Amino acid sequence: MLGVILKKELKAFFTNKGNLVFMFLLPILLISIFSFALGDYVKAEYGTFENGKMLYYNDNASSEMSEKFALISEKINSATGVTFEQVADIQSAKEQVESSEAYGLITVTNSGFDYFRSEFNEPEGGRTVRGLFTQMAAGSISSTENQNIQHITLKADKPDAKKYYTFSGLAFSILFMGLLVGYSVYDEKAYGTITRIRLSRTGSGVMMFSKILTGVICGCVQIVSAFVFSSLVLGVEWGGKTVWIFLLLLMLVLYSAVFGAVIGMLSKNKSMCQSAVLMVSMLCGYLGGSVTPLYLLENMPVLNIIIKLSPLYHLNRAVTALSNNILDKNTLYTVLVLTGLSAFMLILFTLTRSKPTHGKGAAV
Amino acid sequence: MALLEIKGLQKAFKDVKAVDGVDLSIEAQEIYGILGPNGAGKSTTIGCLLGLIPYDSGKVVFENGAEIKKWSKNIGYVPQDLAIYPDLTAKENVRFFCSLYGFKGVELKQKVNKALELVGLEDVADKKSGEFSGGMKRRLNLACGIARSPKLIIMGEPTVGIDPQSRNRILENVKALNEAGATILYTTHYMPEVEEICSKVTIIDHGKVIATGTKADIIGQLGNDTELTLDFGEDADLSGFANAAVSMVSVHGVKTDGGKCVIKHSEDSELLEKLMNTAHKCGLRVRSISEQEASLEEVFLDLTGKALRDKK
Repeated sequence: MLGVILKKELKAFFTNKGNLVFMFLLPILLISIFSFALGDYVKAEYGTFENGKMLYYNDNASSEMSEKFALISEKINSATGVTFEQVADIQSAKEQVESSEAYGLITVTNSGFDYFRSEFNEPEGGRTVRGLFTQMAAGSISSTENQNIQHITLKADKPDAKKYYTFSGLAFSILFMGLLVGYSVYDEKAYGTITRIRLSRTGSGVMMFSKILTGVICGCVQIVSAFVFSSLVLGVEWGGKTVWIFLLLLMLVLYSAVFGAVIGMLSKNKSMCQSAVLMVSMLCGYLGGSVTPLYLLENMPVLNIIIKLSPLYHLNRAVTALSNNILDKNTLYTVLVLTGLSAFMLILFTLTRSKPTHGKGAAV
Repeated sequence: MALLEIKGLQKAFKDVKAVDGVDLSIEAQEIYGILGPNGAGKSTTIGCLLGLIPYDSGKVVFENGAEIKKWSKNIGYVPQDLAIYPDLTAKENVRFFCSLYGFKGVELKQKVNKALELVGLEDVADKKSGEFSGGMKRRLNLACGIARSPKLIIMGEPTVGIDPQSRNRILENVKALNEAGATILYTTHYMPEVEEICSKVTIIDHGKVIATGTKADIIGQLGNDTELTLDFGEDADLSGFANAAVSMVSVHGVKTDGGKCVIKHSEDSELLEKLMNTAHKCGLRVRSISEQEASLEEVFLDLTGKALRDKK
């Protein structure tokens, strides 16, 4: 019976022009708009030390402190290429830091170093330099040298706007796909056709499964169309771990379809279904770095904790790493998060369905 | 032997008893009508017997004591609200619902074509049902429920809001299906439909069965009066005649309307003669006499009252 319902679902889905536009055009539109309109957010230098600059101000420091600073800055410069520029005006230097023109401002004093950074706009490269500087300033420079250089090598990847938004835009549009599944499930109730399905040998469980499967198939089409578009038109390289990226995106498709189906089944009207799916998708998208790059979100107090609630945050981190050929524990963690959420939604749905208290009635 | 037997069915929603001890017995190959005003408990009863609504107590058994889970494949359901996919064509709709029961290939094709032909939609079989008129959608709704030739067809007010032609076609279809061997359970609150097609009727109100049997049985059981109308012409003075008529034993009510006198009475073979004599004594000349038996609608209104049944 699954085949019969699936065939009907696919026919109904693919003969609806709105669905086709949603499926093919939405990821391409999101990727294109975000890549070009929000490209400045993700500069080419982001996450690297390219054109990285540190500012420093010598506040009549002792020669010992000045020498220590010179030694540290030389080590960092030789390892990363980040330049250190002396300034005379602290205020204008701070303004440069706030506008991300420089990673930070170090004031060298007799008692030590004051490190000023932007609380909201500190780039990834700046964070690394700050970490290095703090370690070196606190301890022996020579003893930390090797460890620091190893750390720098790992961070020297070079994501760009097109690449970043190919993955985050695609993930965002996959979340919205849940709305189509939600509508489809809700319509079965609104049309009353679910009653006929329940009365047949099939049952509503098979119907739900076929809706989710249809969502997964459509999600796969979205992934493939985004892959073709980004590779051929934007020239984005998905890297050597493309299979892993596909796997993670597929897990997101599964979550999105399950979420949409469950919300569609539990909703009392269409606007409730729409509001619930859209609200969750928007929240997950915004918090997960689909619009604002993750490095900016990660630097905002409080928000840097909240964003971890979004499955898209974990997915975008993992996929960005995978696109740079880094397969780490984030990938496995993301698979677990998405699978866990899908399972949770299904369990929640099963528990919230009313059970017959007497007689031979089915749950309605 | 009963095809469907319902005994002491009870279902309450919080404090409201929607079904309160309903008993029904439907024999094979009859057209059985369930009548009741809005909110009487018809839909809940149907929901319970279909297994869609869990009931509190009672028993619902089908042929040979089978329960709904085992017997549901023999039921064709035509719900009151349309249950069709607007994005699919008429043929695709019927084919889908028929194939849910395992039909395929040539057999499926034949059943689909036969159902569409029966409801008169064969010419628009490849048109999307979303483009259909209300009557066509109703007929398609019927086709989806009956295509696989079920033993028992349950219909929930299948003629609501459609034109007389489509209504007539649906009623003809119901009779044809019954003649072909199907048992029909027909719920409605349209009396003329019940009078036209049902061999047996049950009237439900406030979740309880208040009358059951054939149309004649129900009218007989409740002893409803016959109406006799005597027309004396526009200028006739009927006051004396009306006073004399109302005092007769078998007369239960007299109304005058212009030159007409409407007399409600129970069975009395000598009544007409008595009335004619009285008219003669009052100096009145009868121009015409007409008699009308109580209709099911009158019985229904007598039983269920004339107050509106809007949900509060």
